[in-house]
Amino acid sequence: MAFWRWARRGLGPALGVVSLAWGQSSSEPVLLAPVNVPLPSAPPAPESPTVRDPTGQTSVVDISGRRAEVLSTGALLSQVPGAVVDSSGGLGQSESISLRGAPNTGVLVLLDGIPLNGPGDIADVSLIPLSILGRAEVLRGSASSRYGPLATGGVVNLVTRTVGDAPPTFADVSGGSFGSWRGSLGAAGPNLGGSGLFVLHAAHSDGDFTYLYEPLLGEAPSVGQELRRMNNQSTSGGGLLKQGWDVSGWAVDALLEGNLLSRGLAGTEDNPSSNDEQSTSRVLASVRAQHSFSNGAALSLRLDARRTTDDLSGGDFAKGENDRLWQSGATADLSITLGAHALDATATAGFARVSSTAGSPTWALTSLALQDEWLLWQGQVSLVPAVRVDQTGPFAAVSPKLGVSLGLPLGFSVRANAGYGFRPPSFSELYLPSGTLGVNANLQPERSFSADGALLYAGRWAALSAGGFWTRYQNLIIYEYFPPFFAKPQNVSAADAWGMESEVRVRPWPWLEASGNYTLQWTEDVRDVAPYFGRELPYRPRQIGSARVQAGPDWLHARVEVEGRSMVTVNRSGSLSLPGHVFVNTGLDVVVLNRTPRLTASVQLNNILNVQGQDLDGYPLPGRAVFATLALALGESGANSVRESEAPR
Amino acid sequence: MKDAKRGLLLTLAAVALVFGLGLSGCLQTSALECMGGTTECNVTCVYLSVDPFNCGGCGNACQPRAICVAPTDGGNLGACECPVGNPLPDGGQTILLCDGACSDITTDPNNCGGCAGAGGTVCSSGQVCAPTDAGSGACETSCGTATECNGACVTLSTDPNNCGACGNICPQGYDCHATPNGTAPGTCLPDAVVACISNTGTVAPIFDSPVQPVAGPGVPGGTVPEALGILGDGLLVGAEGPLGELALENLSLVSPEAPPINASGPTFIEVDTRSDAGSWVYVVDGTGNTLIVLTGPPSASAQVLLPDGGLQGLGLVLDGGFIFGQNTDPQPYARVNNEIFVPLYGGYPPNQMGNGGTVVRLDVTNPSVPVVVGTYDMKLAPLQTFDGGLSDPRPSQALLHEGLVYVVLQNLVVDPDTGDYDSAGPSMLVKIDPTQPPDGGLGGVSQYVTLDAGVCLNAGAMAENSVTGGLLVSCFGQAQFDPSTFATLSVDRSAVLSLDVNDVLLASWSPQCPAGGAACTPPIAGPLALVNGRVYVGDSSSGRVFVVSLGAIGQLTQLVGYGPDGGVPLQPCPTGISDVSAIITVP
Repeated sequence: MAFWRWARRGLGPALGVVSLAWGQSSSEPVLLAPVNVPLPSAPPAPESPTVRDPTGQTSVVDISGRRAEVLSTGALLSQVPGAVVDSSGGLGQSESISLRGAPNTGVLVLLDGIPLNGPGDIADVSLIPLSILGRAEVLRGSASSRYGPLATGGVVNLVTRTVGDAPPTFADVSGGSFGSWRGSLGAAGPNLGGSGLFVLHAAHSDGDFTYLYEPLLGEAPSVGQELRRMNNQSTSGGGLLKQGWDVSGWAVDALLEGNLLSRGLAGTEDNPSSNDEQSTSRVLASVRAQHSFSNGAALSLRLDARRTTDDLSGGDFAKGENDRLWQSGATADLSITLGAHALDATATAGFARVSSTAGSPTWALTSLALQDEWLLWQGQVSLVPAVRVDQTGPFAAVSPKLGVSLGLPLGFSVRANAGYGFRPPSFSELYLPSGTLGVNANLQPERSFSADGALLYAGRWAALSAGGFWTRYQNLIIYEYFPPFFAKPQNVSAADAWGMESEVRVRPWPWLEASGNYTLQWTEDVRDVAPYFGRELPYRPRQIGSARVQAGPDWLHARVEVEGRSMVTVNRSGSLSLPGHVFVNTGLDVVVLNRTPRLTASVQLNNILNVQGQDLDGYPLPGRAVFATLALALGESGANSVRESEAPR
Repeated sequence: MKDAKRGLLLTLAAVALVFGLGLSGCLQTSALECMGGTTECNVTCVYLSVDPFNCGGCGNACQPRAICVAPTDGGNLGACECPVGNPLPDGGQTILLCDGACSDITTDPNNCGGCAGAGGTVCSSGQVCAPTDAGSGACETSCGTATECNGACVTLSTDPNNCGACGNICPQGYDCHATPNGTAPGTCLPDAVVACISNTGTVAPIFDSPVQPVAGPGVPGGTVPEALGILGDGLLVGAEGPLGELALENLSLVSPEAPPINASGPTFIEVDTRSDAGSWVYVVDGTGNTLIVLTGPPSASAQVLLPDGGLQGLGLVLDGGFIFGQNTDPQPYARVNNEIFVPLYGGYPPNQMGNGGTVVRLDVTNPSVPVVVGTYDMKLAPLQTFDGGLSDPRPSQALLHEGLVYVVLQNLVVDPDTGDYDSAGPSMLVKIDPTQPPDGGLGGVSQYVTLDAGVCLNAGAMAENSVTGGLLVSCFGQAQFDPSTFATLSVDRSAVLSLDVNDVLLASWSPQCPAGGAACTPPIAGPLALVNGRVYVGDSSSGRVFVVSLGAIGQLTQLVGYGPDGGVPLQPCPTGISDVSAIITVP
């Protein structure tokens, strides 16, 4: 709500100037030059981190204009400081995200504010197609005080496309290496008395890239074997339907989203699988009504429901594993401004249920959260205490937080936060054994405490942030070896993660923009048995970074991107590791037709140096690849719409 | 303004209170955790059940020569006892508790032949106590060819209480051996070493005795140690990552050297010191599907002290390797001169066997570059099945015996409904004649031996019976696990088989829990090692070691294990859930 308050304050004077100009008159009509007044963007939703956690360290990654360049949601998120994306290699293969050294079970992933993780579970962001997204908002740090369970490392809010940022009609099709293609089409605009948007999408990849199998690399002068990745195909399709109305002053929005995916599970380099497969489906629906009252209060009421199915079959899953998840909730969000205090209260109630071959547990989910954004010293300082009480099945937690921001001259500001997070054990960890992974009904929730601070700058042609963080994760749930064949989850460990994050975006001229991020982080196991005590946590590279430069006029963009990570250990004793890698990507966008229809042709070359890399589980990553895209747009998107203003001279 | 400041202070105070309560009550402190039956004593995790310096409690040191013995009730608190010592013809023992001290009555001049005043003698000044032919002690005027240590006649190369020097008592789990490089009369070394897998990796020493074998406290042994080897006075530990080197004398870690192999799951180590030119170490990596070859100097020692106080390594460097291929899972092999016969177990499940189910014959005349000579397809072996259906043959070990390469073949089938592996039929020994060339099929295979499924399922390991000249085979059995807790519920037909020189079954022994229903995880017979006519059987279920005596005609008699006398097996591995992954005999 804070952002919208500031936006309204700025827009008022601007509109006042326009109206003043309009009011001037003389005896003779004066023709003024057309004035383009961009429509203000819709205010961010109540669940947006920029609203819900106004002092939090949030990065926003916009997908618009980059759809031909970024191939997956995980690739998009990897450009956020502090984020480590674990990809299983190949388009459509699973991707999970870790923030600030947290386990990937410690990141809450939302789609328009609707949780995509089951209670305590990992979210596979590869299941969210880019075609339906407009941007990603990533809040780093323990954020359970504002978002509830799972947010020990942070929150990712994936925001779907809006009517405002989509052309009335649009379509795109891409094809490229490894038998990959994808396409989408959609429309946006007035509909059913309101405004609507729909998107249909489909994608397929054979995933059969070649890679060098070199198990003796660095150990012996043997020749590696060039192999082809098998059973790595994926096929998906789905759609998004959004509709909004104004009903007696209430903004009513409805969303329906569905996705189907089927993919092979290729396995590790050393022990690949020839027939393990996964099929998933998701249907997600929500209805929200929002209203702003004359006294400045705002109320948002939302109902949401999600059903997912997940079926595993093949050799490693001979028994077959079939999970069905229902998760539903009602959320009420009330905000009101009382003097210098912007108060916010959020209450939720819902349930989560899993039906599987191993059982059908059901949990009730309730919470109550309070926040006060207290403006001090003419608004230069915000002090934001918050607290949330959660009940998640048999577990309950209180998560307080304190944030502060200080505005400085010349566009600088400082932010700092300290808060708690918690993650309940998941259904899988508590009740549902899978393969050789057992359960432990005595598990307790993981907890985290984090503190961070950053210096920010926002100017006309540049924005940057640089800061540090420290987090203590405790009661970590680790799968311990359980001879002769199995592993069981135990609360066995506590760990620290600390480091620095930096992010910069510059656009000194309209034809040149550059961005980059860099993270330097350390981790340490601070509570464990002797072989692991004091060691770095596995799967947390010390350094992660990326840089991107794009240049050219509106009709021709050329870009280069470099992304990389340092060496990473892959077991708790630190005795096994994977080397670091650097990937270089490049691309070109050409606007072939610059009218209606607008036709853009793009080519993207990924990993042009053909670096042979591996993901964090030892799965090979694709080498050099090329993709071509044609994108068609009929009409201008809402963000580019103008009102022409003419007055007699 | 004043109200605003007051409000601000109140808010900050409230927040500080909440955070303070939270921080003080909820943040865990940094701490070393001790698990698997260990307890923290002075920032170190120790086994109160077998640590003679912390026996039953931190700092509770046993008296000299006493050992810390685990309780028979399976608890974690040991108690100091005098070791049993060698048996006398009359049924007595040679080590007795005399006046509060453990005394060896064969050599103690103050309790010679027995405790003084209770059948023993205090030797006069100028006399020594010397062992008698009957196994007891008697006062003599001189030690003869033995060494005199304070009135005791001892052999410095074999006496664990005067090992290499008078008064040098070997730690628990260690015995007195002739020094490998002859630099001292005797050195305390374990008789066998055990590698354990639990949530951590452990390596533990074992002292062999015909009466009371004893396990010593374990030390960290890398992550998931699964293979052991001995090079000179160093113990090689194959675990995830670098090859571990420990000094055999006390299992201390040799540092800073650790040959930089990046093994994922080593299953076997072979040390080849036949050449005067140097030593070669072969590491089979089952998970990584590779053979890694290292080379070192001919006389390597892990005992050279460095200026910083650490121990110099064995000087091993990478020399070569071989890639078997994806999903092959190579296993312990047999050597015939300059060729090795490597079983490839294959991937899981059957349709991901890859190149498994075969035995690869490699020429390692040039160890840097192993060359394939040929393969034997074990899938063509005439395995029998209980129901006449198909089976999944898995070669799990090869051993040179009686001039032939024996390959033990598991006989498995995947239950299509559960996905679990079951025994499809009797296991088999396949005998390969190394003088015949392989042809990719069963060319060169001379015989098959079907193992008795009435006593043995899922044979997995072999060792030569040094007493009879026959073969010992370890059978994992068929285990049932609780599907939610994975606890072992039962084990069917897990056993050790004794075969004669014609591969005929002579005897079998099966590890058992105590009768009477006391809480006990059913044991699974795993790796084998022979020491002085006894076989040490590792338990793949709960980290125990059973000891079985070998009779002259192949009999198997349990020496250490659960028995009606309340005996318990050795517990060198962490208690609870652990797995003996390897046992090796120290020469």
